[in-house]
Amino acid sequence: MKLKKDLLPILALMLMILLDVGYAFLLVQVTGNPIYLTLAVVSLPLFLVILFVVFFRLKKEPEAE
Amino acid sequence: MDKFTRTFSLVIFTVLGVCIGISTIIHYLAPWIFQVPSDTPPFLSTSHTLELIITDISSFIGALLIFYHSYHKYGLWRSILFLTGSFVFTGLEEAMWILLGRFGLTFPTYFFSRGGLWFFEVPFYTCVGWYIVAYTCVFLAEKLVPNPRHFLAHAAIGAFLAMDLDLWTDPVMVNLGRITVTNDVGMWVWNMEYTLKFFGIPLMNFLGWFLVIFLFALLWKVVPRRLDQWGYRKTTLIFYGCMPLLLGVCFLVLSGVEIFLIRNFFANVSIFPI
Repeated sequence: MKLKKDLLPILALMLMILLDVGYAFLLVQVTGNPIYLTLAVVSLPLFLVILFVVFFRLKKEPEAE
Repeated sequence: MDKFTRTFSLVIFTVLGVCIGISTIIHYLAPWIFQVPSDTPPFLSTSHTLELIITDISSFIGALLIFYHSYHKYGLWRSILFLTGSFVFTGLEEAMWILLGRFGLTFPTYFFSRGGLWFFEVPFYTCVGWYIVAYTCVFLAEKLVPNPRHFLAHAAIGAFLAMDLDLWTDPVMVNLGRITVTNDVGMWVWNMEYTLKFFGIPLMNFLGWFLVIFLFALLWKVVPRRLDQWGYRKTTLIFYGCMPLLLGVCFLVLSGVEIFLIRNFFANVSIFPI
């Protein structure tokens, strides 16, 4: 249950990132300028690595705080 | 819920509600007071009702989920401090730059082109978005550096993550209008000239993101540590009382960097222009 609760902020952030990636993809499609997704490609891996690290740390944490 | 937290939450949410109500009425019915820029060109959505439904309500639901997590992790009092503190601090910081620039008290800055409810000249969903980003990034930082004594690292890492996120979302949001047939402006418009731009966005914006979240996270981490010594009432008053001071720090640092460093040495420099 604790893991599920702690996933809430991560899910919220992932949702925001997904929305922004969607917008960036639309912009690339319409303008033909790949810079919008290039920026995401530079910045996203750092975020994704951190999210995975946190996810696995949460999984390892004991249930009761 | 103890008596203080009940009274405190009632007072702070009432004050916030009144501020949002008055700001929204002024924005739509008396726009000359804040010199609201004309929004006559068709933006992404010309319907304020639609903005209210889509952006304000969805961000409010997101904030409720984050608050639920915060409540279970830190308790009601600290959760309300984070929610209202980040909302007010970031909202006032943005409003300060927007209005100072608009009234000619500093260099022209930026304005938001659309919104439903407003907090001074900042859309409600922006303030709520700040809350969600600040909370999630500080939460991630706490998980990366689990030792609670390293609050400085939590604030710095959280602020860096938020800035990193904005590094690519800001250019997308500013140019979002290009996906419309009429090639409108984006969700906010930058008026800053003679400055150093990163992906078409003034560098000051990214410095501001780091500074605002760093200072707020530090405030939220440090002040409640004195709860046993000061009690709820005094700690709460000091928490909100520090905000004008931190806003002053933000203003001095950012305007100092912009005026003395960027405009003197990097004016009109654009790195990766869009």
